[in-house]
Amino acid sequence: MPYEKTVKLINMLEKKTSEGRVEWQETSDDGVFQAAFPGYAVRVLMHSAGGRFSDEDPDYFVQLYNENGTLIEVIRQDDIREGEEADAYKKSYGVLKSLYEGARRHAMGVDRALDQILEQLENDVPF
Amino acid sequence: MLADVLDVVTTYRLGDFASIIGLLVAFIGFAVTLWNVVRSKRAAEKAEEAVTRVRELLVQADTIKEFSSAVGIMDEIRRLHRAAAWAMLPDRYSALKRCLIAVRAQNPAMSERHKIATQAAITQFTAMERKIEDMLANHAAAPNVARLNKIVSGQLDSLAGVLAEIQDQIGR
Repeated sequence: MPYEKTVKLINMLEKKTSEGRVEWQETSDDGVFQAAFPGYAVRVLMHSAGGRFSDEDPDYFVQLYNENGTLIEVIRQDDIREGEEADAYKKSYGVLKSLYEGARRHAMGVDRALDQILEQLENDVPF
Repeated sequence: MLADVLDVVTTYRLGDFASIIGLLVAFIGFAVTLWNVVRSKRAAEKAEEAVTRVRELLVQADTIKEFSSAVGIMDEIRRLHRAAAWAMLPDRYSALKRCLIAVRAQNPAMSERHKIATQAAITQFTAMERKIEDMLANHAAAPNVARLNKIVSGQLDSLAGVLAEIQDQIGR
């Protein structure tokens, strides 16, 4: 049985990230991205070995840090899975994957780069 | 003689006039007292405002001092990264964290944006401290200096921006 607040946090974080309303930044660790809030911080990361569905699928994690930068919670797919059905596995995995991908795109400035390139192409700038 | 005086008082109803004048004097006295009370309250409020403002300025001055120290330590951390002086770094990360935590404790009314920038730096440098401590304890390979300094520079820019905004607020 997942903890209701954890599920809500991950869903909201994923939603706000997809809307571009969370300020993600890179960290000193490869593939780890961080978003700070007043008094807390969240990090998302993935682990490639031993994925849930196949060897190629990485696992995604969310870490919560307190005001002093101490790790206080690690959220895994099982912590937000609502049920034992295949769909529940798929849904919880999908939310974490989408959150991670959104955080990565924001931290690396992918959306900004795509927007600018698209704007240039739409304006028919001659090359 | 006294009878004459009483007669004049009665004839001209001087007692009534005296009562009316007494009442007027009482009203005027009450109004003056009220006015003085209001004036004293305003003066006390202004004095309190001045004390609060001075206190705020002192806190802001302390904040600037702590932020300036933090920025200085971040510069030093970058240099230590480049010099691969790993054993010296955990102390500097801790000192930096202390500065940032002090800033936050001194300024509970800090803007949300400034709190976020401070929290981001605290979390980033705590993670770096842990990473270097692990590396030293396990005699592991040194981390990528360029990557570390990219993160330090990002945090430095962010906190320097906060510092400039606080200095600007004091200057107003």
